[in-house]
Amino acid sequence: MIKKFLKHLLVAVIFFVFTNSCTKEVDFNQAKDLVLEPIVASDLIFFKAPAIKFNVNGVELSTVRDSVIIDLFNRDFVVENLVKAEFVFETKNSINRAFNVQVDFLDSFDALRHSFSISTLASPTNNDITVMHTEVFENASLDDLKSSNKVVLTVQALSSGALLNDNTQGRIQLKSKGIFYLKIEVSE
Amino acid sequence: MRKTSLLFSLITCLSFSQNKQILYGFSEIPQSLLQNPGGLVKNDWYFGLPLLSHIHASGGSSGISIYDLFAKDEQDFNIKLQKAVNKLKPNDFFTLNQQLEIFSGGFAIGPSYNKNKYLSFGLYQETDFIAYFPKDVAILALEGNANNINKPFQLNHINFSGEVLSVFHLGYNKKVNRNFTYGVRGKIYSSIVNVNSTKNRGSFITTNGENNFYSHIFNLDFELRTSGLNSITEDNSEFSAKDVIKRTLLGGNLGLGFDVGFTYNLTKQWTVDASLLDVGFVRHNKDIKNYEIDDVYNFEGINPLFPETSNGQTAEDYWNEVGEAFKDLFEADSTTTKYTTWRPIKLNASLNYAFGKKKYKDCKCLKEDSGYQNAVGMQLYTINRPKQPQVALTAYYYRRLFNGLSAKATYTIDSYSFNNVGLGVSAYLGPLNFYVMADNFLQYKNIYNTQSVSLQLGFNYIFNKNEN
Repeated sequence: MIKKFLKHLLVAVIFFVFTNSCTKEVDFNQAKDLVLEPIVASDLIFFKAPAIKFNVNGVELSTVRDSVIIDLFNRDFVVENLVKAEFVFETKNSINRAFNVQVDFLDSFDALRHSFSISTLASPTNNDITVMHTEVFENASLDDLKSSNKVVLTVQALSSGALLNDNTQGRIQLKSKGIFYLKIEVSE
Repeated sequence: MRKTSLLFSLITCLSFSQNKQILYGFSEIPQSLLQNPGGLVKNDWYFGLPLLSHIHASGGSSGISIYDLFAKDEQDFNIKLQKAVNKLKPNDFFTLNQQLEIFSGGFAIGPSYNKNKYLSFGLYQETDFIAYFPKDVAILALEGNANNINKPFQLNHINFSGEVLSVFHLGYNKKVNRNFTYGVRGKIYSSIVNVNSTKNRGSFITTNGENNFYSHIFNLDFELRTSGLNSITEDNSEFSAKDVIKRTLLGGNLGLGFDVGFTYNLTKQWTVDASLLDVGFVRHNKDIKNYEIDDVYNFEGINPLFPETSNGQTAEDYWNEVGEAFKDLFEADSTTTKYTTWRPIKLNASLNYAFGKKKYKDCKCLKEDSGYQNAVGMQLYTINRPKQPQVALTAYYYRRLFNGLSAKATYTIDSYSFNNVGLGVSAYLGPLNFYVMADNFLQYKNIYNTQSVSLQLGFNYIFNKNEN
């Protein structure tokens, strides 16, 4: 009889232990606080042009311009999550001619929203002259970037230096990258 | 020193998952035959109470616990997450396993003077899921690539598989002589849902470029295979509970498999046994939707002014081409290619020592044929998983407490826990057998702080040889 009682008691105790394990307080709502802040680096525009590219059939081509439709900055994801951007441009010029590189940002109505330019001096010795430029987009300028969907790139040979012809030595090159600071709030 | 590091590396690859270390070898419980078809049988016949005969759930995380991440403290969740990501390794994993026996039964066959054969059968439903920690994906999402130049983000960190299936089984067990028993079990699998992505390769890396600051190299070889899922997730899906029942009853993607096992008495007190479970496959040929990305692309930015083109392409065309390349890169092709999955094979083995016969109260002589009251032993458990097998080592003590009540305590070593203590009891109330077992008892003060839990319980109606 006692054995039977003990037997049932043991089963009851073990069952109690199984069903009454303890917990300390946890809060799964914390997951809503999740904020991702990745910094994304990406190449942007580049070119490398020997001096002869600025000479078409013996006529000096002092301005080269083209536009690129970039429907990236105005996308919802970027508009909502991009908090800062830096565009880093580097020009290397070994042509004996000064150049100006201008970058214009236009919105869908072709209205100019933002513009900056980089000038490089002529290189009489054909050695590389390096110019770095960092354009920071924050607050108002960031809003301008986000409303842009077209970038116009203009390379202009300035008056200082020699005329460009088939025999002109050297080249001009441009490298650029964007550093994008994102802040992605998951709960939104 | 070398021995220590060898031991350490062995221990770090040890782990739990659907290990049923308490049930294994617990021969009073008929369901132990599913852990070893060649185990000892102690009843003449039994049937499991439908839907209640075996309820099993286990879950685990090899690197962190829920408490590590979600404890209600003053710490910023993002800091805790960052710490967790730093701590976790790509081989850390999260597992989930659940089984529910729908029906089961068994009976001894053979001449009445020697019923040495035993047939058992049943149907159970199983869910099995494993996901490895996609560390590089987490780092890319948390940090981005800007401060990780020259670091390859490996795509093989994405590795997971999951399935829901039903298993029909029929087992045959034969006690050849006093010392040797063997058994086999045939299985028919009917897969309800399957997803897996285990053979990804390639990487994304940003290096210093030639034409521009960087060179972004995408080399992506990704595949996600699914069966039984598209009919549930597609628009206007007419999937209903009826379909679950249909798929459970052999209407899903079918497969075949088997279990084998044996028990051998070395001496009267020493026993070895082993089993190999779920050697089988499922052939997926219905309701398939696979996604594939297989691309190599090197991006250095765009060159709108002097594009290197020969066919008079405009800059606009050139840009479109870049856009297309990116679209191709990330847009997955979907296919309906049939595929085969292998079930996770499990290996169990144990060495056991029984001792302590029951004595009569009023004399010092032993009770005839009452068997030993205690047993101790070591058990090894291995399961094959997508990246590497997981291993667990268990030491146990088994004790018959009273007539009809026995208990087993286990101590298991796995990946990150050296203090996994488990306890199980089997009790008879007349012919009704009830059993319950769980592990990680030392962590029950705060269940969220444990990295794994496993629980089994069930009810059977048993007609015992011993009570005959």
